[in-house]
Amino acid sequence: MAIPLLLFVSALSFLLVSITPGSVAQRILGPFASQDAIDRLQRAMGLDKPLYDQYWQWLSRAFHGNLGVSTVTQGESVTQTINQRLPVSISLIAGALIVTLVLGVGFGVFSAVRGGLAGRLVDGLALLGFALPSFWIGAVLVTLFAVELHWLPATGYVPLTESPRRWILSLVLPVVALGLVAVANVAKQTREAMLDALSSEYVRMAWASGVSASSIFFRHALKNAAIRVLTVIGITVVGLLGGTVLVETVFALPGLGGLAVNATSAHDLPMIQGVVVYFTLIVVGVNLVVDLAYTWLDPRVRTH
Amino acid sequence: MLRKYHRLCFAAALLALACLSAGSSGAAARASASSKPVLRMGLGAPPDTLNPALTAGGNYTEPLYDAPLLHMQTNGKIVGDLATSWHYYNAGRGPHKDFELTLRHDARFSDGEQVDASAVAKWLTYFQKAKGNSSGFFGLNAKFVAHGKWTVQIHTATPVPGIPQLLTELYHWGSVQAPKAVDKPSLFSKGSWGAGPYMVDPAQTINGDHYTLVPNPYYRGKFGPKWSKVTLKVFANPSTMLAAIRSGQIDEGDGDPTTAAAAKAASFSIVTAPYETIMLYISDFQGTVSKPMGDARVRQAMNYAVDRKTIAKTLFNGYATPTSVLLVSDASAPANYYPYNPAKAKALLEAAGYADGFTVNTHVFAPMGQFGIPLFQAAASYLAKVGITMKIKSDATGGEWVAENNSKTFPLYFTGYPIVPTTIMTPTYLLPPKNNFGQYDATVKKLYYQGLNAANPMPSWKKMWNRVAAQGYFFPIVLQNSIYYVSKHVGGVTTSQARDAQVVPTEWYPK
Repeated sequence: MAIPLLLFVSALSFLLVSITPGSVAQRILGPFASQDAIDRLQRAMGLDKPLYDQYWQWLSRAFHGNLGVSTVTQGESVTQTINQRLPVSISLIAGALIVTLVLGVGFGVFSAVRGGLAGRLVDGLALLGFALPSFWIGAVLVTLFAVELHWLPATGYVPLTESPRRWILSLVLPVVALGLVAVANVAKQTREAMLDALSSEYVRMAWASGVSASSIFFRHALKNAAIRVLTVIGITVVGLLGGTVLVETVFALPGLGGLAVNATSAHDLPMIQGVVVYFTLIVVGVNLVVDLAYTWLDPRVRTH
Repeated sequence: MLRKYHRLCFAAALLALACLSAGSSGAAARASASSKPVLRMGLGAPPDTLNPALTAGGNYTEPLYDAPLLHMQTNGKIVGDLATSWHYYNAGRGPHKDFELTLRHDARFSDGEQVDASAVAKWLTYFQKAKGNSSGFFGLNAKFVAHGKWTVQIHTATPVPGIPQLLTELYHWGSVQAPKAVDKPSLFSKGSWGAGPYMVDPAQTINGDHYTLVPNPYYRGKFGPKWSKVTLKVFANPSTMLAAIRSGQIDEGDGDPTTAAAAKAASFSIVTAPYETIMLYISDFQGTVSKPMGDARVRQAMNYAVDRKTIAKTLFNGYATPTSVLLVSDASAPANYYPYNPAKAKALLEAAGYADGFTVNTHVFAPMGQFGIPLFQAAASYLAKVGITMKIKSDATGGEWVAENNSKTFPLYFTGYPIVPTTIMTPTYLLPPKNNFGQYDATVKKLYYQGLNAANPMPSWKKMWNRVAAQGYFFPIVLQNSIYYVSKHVGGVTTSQARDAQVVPTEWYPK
């Protein structure tokens, strides 16, 4: 399934980039270049060939693991550039996912168990989370924790290998900004799934059999509710990938989202294709992990 | 329960400690182990390339890694850098066609190669052939010849009066690159190849996001490294740049009218100077796709209809001044050529047969912030008062903007250009084949070449620019200031209109 998906997505992005106004030759030659000069450079770069031809050439190289070189810098390896930026996006998404899991599932379980005011609070938080965009949350966090309190850096990324402590600190605000929106969604879904599970027959039987509360909540109800939560988390990761584009801009992080924006503005087709391939592989990987987790949570899935 | 509480307190204390130590990380970053501090610069956009021959716009960080042949001081005076002397000479072909410069003997590129006449001639020849944005400044078929080890001669086909200026850091030609990179330009994607005091360290650089410059071990010039390293961090969003400034993460950054007051409040000094004319260029002045634009009275009416003073004051917080002409550094018509006079505008429209007004389409580059869509929406509201409906299409990217220019469907388009000499501005807009409709004014062309071939070009060029203003080929609104934010840790940051509002970071020093 992954290969047809990769082919489809890469072909679609190739098509979409080709129909956007402008070209990489215009970008290189600048605003005052003549059409003749632009056409000459297009020819020299092979960009005057039919689209299917260009796509086939890219695909042939990509099958051999060569994603080509940037057409803007004319020499920068796409794979190398993306690999330089990949740890930033992975750190950001992984961090946001951890925040989402811990807080989202935690709030959801808590509100389902306690009900009443806590439940309404989670509903309210969820509404707020849906309403507030991550870039706004980011700007507020920066103003408070970086500009006013000077507790955390406002922008930038420090690699883990350079300083683990500064790596964590550089990620706190972006991770929170990216994760908060997802927390609201996961909390809401967890709460609903938990309530369904807690009102089911087998839970009533467990209470009647004298099973402890913690065992009922976590071993029985949460394990059942987790299947629905897992589906939401799978979708959330895809949403987080999109969210990195905005969050990386607000926090000036050198990740894949920012690279995608720059490459698109510059019509750097090989770079855009490279980012698309990586993003698609991440989505495929996440779906695989979710599928495996389904089978672990519910062995009946394996038999189907 | 008590144990849980203690654990919580311990975790909170650890977090507080981590946060407190983070607070001091800015200062720690500045004062590195080396005795020299680090200079941390914030850029609004990354250098589009490390190859000066192909750069599309200004990049004021270039002199840090590319020493220029000549250096322009803040007052506009040109002094030597890689070159020690320079002059035009008379080879019997007329004025301003033959030029000679002599190089200093101790300069080396960052790869250790010597900066000699053959390297300079090779670079200049390559620059012309590379067909970048500035490649036409010496006219067509200029020759660059090495004479001996230290002398380079330049022979141009048409007079070029501003060669010394073109060889400064402002116009990229003088930023000589090592022969190895000239032979293989793809090497520019992996680092810098100039003879400046610093060089790009690829291991600490992510193209488009941040660049780390380390001292060039072969540098022997007068701008010897004053910093242990220089970091260039890109902040695409002015608010993010402001946050970085206010939290002490950078020492110098590109400014913006919308954030200048806040930067000043954060104790940053504001270095500013008039930079570029922001305008609509009425490139279809013969009325091919829009008949009204072919009438000089209509173009004049548009210029009279707009209250530029009010726009500049309200939109730009003092970081722009009104201008109704395209400004050049040597022979401009007066900036207030078209004072605000809506009655006169209406009268001119009536005389041209457009008393009931008309509709005209234009397109504007949206990422210009306040100087883009908001500025021209304001101008459009004034035009509406005299009956002209200006429909504005927004261009999301530079590529889209160029594509729309070349589509020949818009009779006028958004553009901005720094205050440069006539020899640069005229070929950019007014001579064939640069106009996107292929149109030009024969009188303007004649006056330009008259000046070019005269010992003193100014009388002809002043006439030329007055004609350009009178014909209303441009619809300028404001002269935009360049803005830089500078912390108290950095000295020597200066700019002026005489130096195209550029700062030259090799002049800066730690305070």
